[in-house]
Amino acid sequence: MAGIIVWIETANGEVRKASREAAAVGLKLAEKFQVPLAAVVCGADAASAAKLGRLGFAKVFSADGDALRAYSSEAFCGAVAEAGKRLGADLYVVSATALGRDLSARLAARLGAALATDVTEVQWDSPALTVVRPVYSSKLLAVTELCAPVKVLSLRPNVFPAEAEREQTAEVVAITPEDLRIRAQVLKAIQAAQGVMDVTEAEVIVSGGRGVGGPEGFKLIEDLAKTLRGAVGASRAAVDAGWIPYKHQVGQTGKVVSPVLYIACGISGAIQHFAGMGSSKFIIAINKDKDAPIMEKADFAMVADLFKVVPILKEELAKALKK
Amino acid sequence: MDIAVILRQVPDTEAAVKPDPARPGAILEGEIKFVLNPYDEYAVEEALRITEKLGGSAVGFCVGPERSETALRTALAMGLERAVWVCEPAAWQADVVTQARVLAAAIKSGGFAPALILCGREFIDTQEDAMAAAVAQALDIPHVLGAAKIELSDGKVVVSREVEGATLEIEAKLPAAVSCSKGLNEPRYPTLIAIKRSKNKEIKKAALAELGVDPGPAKSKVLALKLPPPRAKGVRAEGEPAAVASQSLEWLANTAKVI
Amino acid sequence: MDFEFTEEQRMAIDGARRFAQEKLAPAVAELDEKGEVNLKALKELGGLGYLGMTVAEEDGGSALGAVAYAGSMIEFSKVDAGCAVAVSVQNSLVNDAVAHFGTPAQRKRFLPKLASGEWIGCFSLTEAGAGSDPASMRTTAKRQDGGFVLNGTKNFTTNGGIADAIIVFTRSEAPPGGKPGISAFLLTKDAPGFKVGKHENKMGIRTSSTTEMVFEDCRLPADALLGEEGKGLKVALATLDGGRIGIASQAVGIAEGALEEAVRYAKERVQFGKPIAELEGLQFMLADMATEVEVAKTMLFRVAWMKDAGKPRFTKEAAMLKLYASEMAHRVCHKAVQVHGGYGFMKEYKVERLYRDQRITEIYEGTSEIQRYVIARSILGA
Repeated sequence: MAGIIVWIETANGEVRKASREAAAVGLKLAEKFQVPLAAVVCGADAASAAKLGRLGFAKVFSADGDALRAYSSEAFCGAVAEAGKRLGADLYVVSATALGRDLSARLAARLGAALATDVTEVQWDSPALTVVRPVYSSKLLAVTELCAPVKVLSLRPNVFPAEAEREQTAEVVAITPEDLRIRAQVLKAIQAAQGVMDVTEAEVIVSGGRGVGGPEGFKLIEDLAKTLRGAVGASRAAVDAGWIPYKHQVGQTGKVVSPVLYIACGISGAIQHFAGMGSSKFIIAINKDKDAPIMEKADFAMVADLFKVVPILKEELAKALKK
Repeated sequence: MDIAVILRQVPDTEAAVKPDPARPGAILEGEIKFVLNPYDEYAVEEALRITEKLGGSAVGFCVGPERSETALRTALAMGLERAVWVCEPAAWQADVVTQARVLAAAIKSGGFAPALILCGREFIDTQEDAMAAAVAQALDIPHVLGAAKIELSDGKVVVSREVEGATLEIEAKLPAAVSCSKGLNEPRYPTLIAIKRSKNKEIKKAALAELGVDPGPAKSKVLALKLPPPRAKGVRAEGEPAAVASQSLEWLANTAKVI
Repeated sequence: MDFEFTEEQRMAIDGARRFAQEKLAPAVAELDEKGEVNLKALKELGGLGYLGMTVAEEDGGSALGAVAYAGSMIEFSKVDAGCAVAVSVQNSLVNDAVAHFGTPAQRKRFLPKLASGEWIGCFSLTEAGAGSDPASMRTTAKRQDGGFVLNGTKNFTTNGGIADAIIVFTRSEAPPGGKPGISAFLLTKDAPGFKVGKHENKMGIRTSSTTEMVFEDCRLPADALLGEEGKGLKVALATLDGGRIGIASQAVGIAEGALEEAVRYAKERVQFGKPIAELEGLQFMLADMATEVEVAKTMLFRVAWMKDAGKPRFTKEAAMLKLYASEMAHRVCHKAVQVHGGYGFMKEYKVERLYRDQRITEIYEGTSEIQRYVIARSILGA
C-alpha cells in the first residue's frame, strides 16, 4: 500500500456523517499499512476544506470550480483520481451513500481497480486488505481479499464508528482535474420536505407493513417516527399496495438500512425485508402473529395489536424523552 | 433507437443459499432455482417500451455461466430481439470492472451502436451496483445509476433518481448507460405465445478472443462465504397493550439504552 | 420416457407461479371472505394465454398443451383455488368442447374470444335432480321455427355469474324415427330468455362464481347446436375426461400448497423447547403428505402427457387420477390443519382456506363414487 485517499461528501456545506465514518476507517487503514493519508473534497471553499483537519486529515485536496459545484460522476471522479495521483495513492475509501456508490463504481473502472462495495467489516488482523460484505440478499457474508494494485472501497453507512473531532487544521492543496467534461449533470435536486428524514440516514426507523392496513394506518407509524425523530420505513407489501411511496421501502428491492433502532410494525419479516434491515443494531417487532418470522429475529418482540400498542408507546416515549 | 440491455442470472430471492464447502467463495447450486435478476426486468421493460415507441432494436448482453441461458430466454420471451452471451469462465469469474470491459466489447461488436445501455440497479447475488458505471467508463460514455424515471429527448436522456434526502434530475448526453430501479415501470409477464416464439430467437455466443478482451489476473478473491452471526435471542412481551408497551420502554432504556 | 419439462413448459409454469404470487395471493383472503371473483386477474390470465392453453394458435390459443396447463393449474390452485377452477372450466370444458365439437363457424366466433379471455365461458350440465345422473335432466329443447326453444333451470354452474359464453345440455325431442336424447348448445349470455339465477354461497372455492342458469322460452337459432342433436352426452363425457385433468391439477395444487404451509409452520412453531418439525410423529406425517402429493403429481403429468400425445381416450386413467388426487388432497389438507393445531382452524392461516377449497374436488366433475364406477367398468370390461 502506498497511500490512501478518502472522499469526503458534503451536503449543503456540511460533511455527511457517513463521510466521518469513512474518515475514521481511512485513518485506521493508514495506520495499519503505515502509508500517507489525505482527504479529497469537491466544491468546498478553502476554509471548510481546512476544517477537515478536525477529522484527522493532515492534508486535504480541494477541487473547486463551476464544474464541481454539483455532483457529477465524471468530474468528481476526475478530482478524486487527481488527488490520488498527487498523493501516490493506491487505495480509495468512500462511504456507500447513493453518490459514494456512484463515484466508487466509476472510479474503480477508470483506474482498473479492485472494487468492494457496501463493506460492513474490515479484517484488521489480515496482512492483506481483506473486507467483509453482504451477498445473496444478505443471507451470506463474503470475505473478500482485494489483490489488484489499485483498490476502491465503499463502506456501508451507520456501521463503522464515526471519527471524533479533534483540534487540527489540514494543509489544503487546491487541485484541478485535467478532464472536466461533464456529459451527465444534475439539472435539479428536489429536496425532501423539512423534517422528513431519509431511511438510509436515520438512526431510528419506524416501519409499517401489511398489518398497518392502509394509508391511514401509516399516520400512526409517522407519529411514532416523529416522536423518536426517526424516519418512516415500509415493507414491500405496503408499498405495492400503494399505501406509501416507494422511497420508504426497506429491503431487497428497496433500501438497505443500518439504524440503531428499527421498529417493525405489522411486518411479517420475509427474507427480502430482512436483507434490507438485518444489520440494524436493535430490532423491535410489533405483530399480532406470534409466529411471524420477524418475531424470531427481533431483539424485542411484542405480540400485540399495533393499533393499540403504537399510540401508547408514542405517548410514553414522548413523556420519557421530555425528561 | 437501439438499446443494449445487460442481463444476469441470479438465484431466486427465496432460495436458501449455502456456501459450498468444496469451493471457497461459491454456493451450492444443486437445489437452487435461478432467475433473471429482478432489477434487469425493469431494464428489459424500459428498453421494450422505448423501442416499441421509437423503433430500433433492444438486444440483451450477458456474461455468465452455462446455466444463464434460461434467464436469457426469459428476457427474449419478454420481447428482446436477440441476445449475445459470453460464457467462458474467465469472463464470468472475473470482477465487475473486468466483466464490464467484456460487455462493452460485446456491445460494440458486430456494428451495433446503441444509444442507451440499460441494466438493473443491482445484481442481487453479489449485491453490486457498479455495472452501469463500469460499462460506461469502458465505453467512454456518461452514466446514471438507479433510475426511477427515464425521459428521452433529442440526443439526451433525463433520469430521476433518489439520493439521501433528495430526488435528483440528471441529464446525460447519449449514448449513455443507465441502471434501472424499482418504480421505473411494471415489467410485463411474457405471454405464452411469446415464450414459444422466444425459442427461435438468436442467442449468439461470443468468445473473449474474438472480442479482444484479456481479463488479466483476478483483482479480488472471495476467500470464504460465511453465515452472518446469529442475532442473540430476543425478549418477548405478550398481554395487555399497556403492559407490553411499558415493558418495551424499560427494555429500550435499560437493555438497548436507546432512550 | 422423459420426465423433464420442455423449456417452454417450464417457462409457462414459472410464469403461472409468479402470477399467482404477485396477482392472486395479495387479494385472495379478502375475496374468499366476501365470496367474490378476481375477474381482473382472470382477464389478465386470458391476455397472457393461460385461458387458451390447449386451443390451436390459428384459433387464437397458445397451444402449450395439457402438461403445461396442468403445471400452471397447480400453481394457480396453491394460491387461489377459486380462480384456478375458472381457468380449468375455460380450458378443459368450454374450449375443448368447442374445439372438438364446434362447427367451423362456432370455432371462429368463440375460440379466439375464449382463448384470449375476452369472453369467459361456462359448462352448464348439472340440475337439481340430475347430478351424477345427467341423463335424468329435465331442461328441454324443443324445435320451433327452424330453431330451438329451451326451458328449465340448471344449477351449480361454475363461472355462471361471469360467463359470456354458455354451453348448456338439455333433453331434446326425438328426431323423426329416432330416440330422444341429450343435446348440447352453445350460446352467449344475451340470448333472449336466458338469465343468471341464484348465486350460491359456498363452503370453499369462494372466489369462483357458482350460479343457477335459468332458461325461460330461450330462443336459439339452429346453429347454436354444439355437436349433433341427441348426441350431447358424448360431448359431455368426452369433455369431462379433459376436465378431470383440470380438477386433478387443482387438487394437487391445493395439497401441495397445504404441504408447503405445514412444512413452514412446523419449522417455525416451537413447543417443548424445539420446533415441532423435530418431533418424529410430525416428521412422519409430513413425509406421508409429501409422498402422496408426489404420487398424484406423477399420475397427473402422465395423463396430461397422454392427452398431449393425442391418445384417443384416457377415460380410465383420468378417472383414476381425479379420484386419487382429490382424495389425496383431502388427506393432505386434513393433516396440514392438524400440523397447525388450533391455528389451522383460524381464518388467519392459509390452511383453513385450503381445507375448505379441497372438499369440492371430490365432488364436482364426477364424484369419487362415479370415478370408481367408471374405473370398475373399465377394468371389468363391462
